[in-house]
Amino acid sequence: MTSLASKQNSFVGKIKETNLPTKWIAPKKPPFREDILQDKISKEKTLNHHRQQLLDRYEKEKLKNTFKKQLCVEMLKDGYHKSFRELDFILKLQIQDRYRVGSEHPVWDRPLLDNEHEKLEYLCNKLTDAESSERTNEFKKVYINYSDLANYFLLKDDPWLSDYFFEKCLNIVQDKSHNLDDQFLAEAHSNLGLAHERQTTDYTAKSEKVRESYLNAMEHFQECYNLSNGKDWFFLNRSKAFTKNQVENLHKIRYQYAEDHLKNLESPTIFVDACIHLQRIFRIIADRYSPIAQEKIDLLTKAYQVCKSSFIGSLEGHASFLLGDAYTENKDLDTALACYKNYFDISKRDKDEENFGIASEAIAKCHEKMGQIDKSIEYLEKYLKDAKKMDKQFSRACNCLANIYNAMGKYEQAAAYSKKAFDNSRQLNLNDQLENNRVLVGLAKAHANLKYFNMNVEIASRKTITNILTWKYEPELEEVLKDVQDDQKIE
Amino acid sequence: MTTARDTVYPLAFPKGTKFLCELCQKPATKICERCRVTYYCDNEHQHTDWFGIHEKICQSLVPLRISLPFLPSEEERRKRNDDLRNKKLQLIEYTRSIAQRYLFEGDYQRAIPGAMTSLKFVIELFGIKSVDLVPSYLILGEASQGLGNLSQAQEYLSQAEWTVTKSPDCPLPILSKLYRNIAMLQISKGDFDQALRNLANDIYYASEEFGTESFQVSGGYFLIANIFFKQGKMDVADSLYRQVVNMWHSHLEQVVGKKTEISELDTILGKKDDDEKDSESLDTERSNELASEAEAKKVLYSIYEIRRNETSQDIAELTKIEHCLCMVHFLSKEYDKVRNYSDLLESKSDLDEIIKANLTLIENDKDYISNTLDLLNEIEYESSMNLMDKCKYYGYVTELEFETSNLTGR
Repeated sequence: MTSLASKQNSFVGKIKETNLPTKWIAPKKPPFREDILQDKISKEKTLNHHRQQLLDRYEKEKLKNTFKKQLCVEMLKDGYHKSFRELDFILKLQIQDRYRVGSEHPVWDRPLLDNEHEKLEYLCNKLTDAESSERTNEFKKVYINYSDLANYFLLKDDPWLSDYFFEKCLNIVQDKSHNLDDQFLAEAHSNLGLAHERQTTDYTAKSEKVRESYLNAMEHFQECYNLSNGKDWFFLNRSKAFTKNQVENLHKIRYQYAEDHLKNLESPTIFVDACIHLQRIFRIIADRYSPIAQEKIDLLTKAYQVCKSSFIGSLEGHASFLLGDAYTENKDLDTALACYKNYFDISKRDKDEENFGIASEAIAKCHEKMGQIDKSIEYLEKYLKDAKKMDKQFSRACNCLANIYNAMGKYEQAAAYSKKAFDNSRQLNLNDQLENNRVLVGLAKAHANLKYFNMNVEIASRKTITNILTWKYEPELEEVLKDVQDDQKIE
Repeated sequence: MTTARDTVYPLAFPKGTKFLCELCQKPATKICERCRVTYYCDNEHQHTDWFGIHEKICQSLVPLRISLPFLPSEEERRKRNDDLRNKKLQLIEYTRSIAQRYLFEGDYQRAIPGAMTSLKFVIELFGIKSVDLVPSYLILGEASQGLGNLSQAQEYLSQAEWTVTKSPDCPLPILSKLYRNIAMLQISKGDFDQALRNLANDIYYASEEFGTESFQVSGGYFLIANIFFKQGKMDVADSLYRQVVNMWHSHLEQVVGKKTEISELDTILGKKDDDEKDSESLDTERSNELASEAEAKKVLYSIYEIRRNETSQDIAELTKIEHCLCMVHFLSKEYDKVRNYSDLLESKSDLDEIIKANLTLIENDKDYISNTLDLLNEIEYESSMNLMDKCKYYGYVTELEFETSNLTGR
């Protein structure tokens, strides 16, 4: 027991002195993760700072300068003074252009070229390329560079700049001392013509300006047409400078105003291209800017000749049709008829159903105007025989016949043809024609029934009144109205 | 000769006043006899200063440096201060343009005093950190470069550059001039790469200020062309030289056109001949013109030499330069040289008899000669350029004859 107690005593009484420190020290804080990171980062920073080389004077300048100034200095350093002046001129031109269109125009809100680094760099590169090839008298390369620029800005939707470069292209080719092929001249004319045509869509342009643009476009396309007539030149291959997608877009822009069926031509020659555009411009000018009939006919005749030389059947036919229209307006029906017949033949040759229908309709109308109704009916019925029943054109022909019969007073036949037209369009689900045809049917029937209705009203016996009433209840029972006459005769 | 009048004794001055040499800032022992406000350390410095600038501004310095009586009214004092300030500003411009002109003429020793004087006045007016110091520094730099003291030039230029970097809104013409001078120094050191960079900067600033087609830009182009010429890149140099000549040609034609127009008017309204007076008076515009004429001469002559030594000469370009030279000499009133060049031009054309006859007819009227010569140059130039058909030529000649008959009739 005692031994145990003494043991306890010794435990209680004694304090371990040896392990206690003489001076109290705060325990070390475990370092936070963030602190370690911070430390590392700052160390890294100082290391990097030491590792960095001192900047050259010109490198410093590069950081300080604006992008435009840096580009200019780089160009001038290599002696490209023409490019520098060109660039300066273009930047001023843009500001002028902005002020011309005014602050209402959507272009106003777009950044200036100074701030569009990608475009500016491309512009500078191409300009310097052009200048260096100009120095070595390789004007073909100069031309290619400028036309690349023009196309590039066309894609980037900067039409003012692309027009400027297209004009520059033409100037280069026109300089006789440069000895460039006529092929480039034709191409430049064609491009510039299109540029002028594009200017007409700018809604800020005044009507006088638009007319001028069309006339300019016509001149350029005529030049192109004359130059390329009889030659099988092709346009320059753009696939080097542009991606496939961009080339497609360019093609789209090129034929944006062309007729729908011409939009997907596979690499047309310069001549065909010129034909497509030239006839369109002729038509537009004839349509809008030639109040005198003879002038209009002259223009359309020119358009027809252009179309004829292009060997595109649809174009030729259409031009001939328009020419016929112009003659009809001018009351020169014989010539008009000849034109329509030409159209008829062409579409027959090409087996173009739709145009064939239009042609026969036109001929019929023309005959009608000349008073030869028999002939016109003959033409139409000839067509109706040939035409397939499921054609859009079918209903038009029917309508036309119906109209003629209407005018002749043969209302029942008219009603029958209108019904045919109506049924046709109902089958084909042509909603736009459906309403129209419905009304026409109604009209023809009304005309047909008017006579009998009047009779019924005039007689005014008990039977006739019931006749009218039954008809009113059920408009389908047209036959009831016709009954009157027989009864009256018996009485 | 040492007389009592131009010697001063530093110890004899009142206490606290010190007079220093105008050029080197040492204690002065000489005084200018005429104005009695300018001091020099020895005869040599006085001599240099006299021929450099003092001759022209001696009397204008008097009101600036003489101690002025106290004016009781505040308004009068302010007015006088403004007056002095304006005079100083004028003097700065004038001395600078004089120095500039000597520089263009290659007389570097004479350019230094003018620049020093302008520097002194600028410090007086604007303080030591002002951007207005830079043009003077530039002239000094160029002059010392011309004298072959490259390290001195470097010092002046770096001082100018430092001043420019300290003030961010420095006017563009000064910047352009600075870069051009630095580039010139680097060219003489043979450091072409950096010189090209500086020149590019110069052209950029100059065309921002004056427009890309202005003749003020042509200096930069000329220097770049020289560098490419030295490096053997002949095609680049060629196109740049052409550009320089074009710029000068259009500028000179404009100036000459203006001059001849006025003189025609003068013949009707009465004579006005203030040419002699002009060159001496404090007219800064006139001295700017003189400076640009001197530059034109220098540039055009060196291009002319290069063109003449080419193996395949471009006749059209040569005639263009000759025409330019003709106009420059006409502007600086060296009529015999004009005659030389017009003869040279004439020899290139076939149809010279009639014009010569016209010339002798009206020899006595000086104003008219210049006018005709000018017209004649135009005719000669254009005919040698094959631009003019016969009709147009006869049109000119009949016009000439008509005018001469008018004159003789009067």
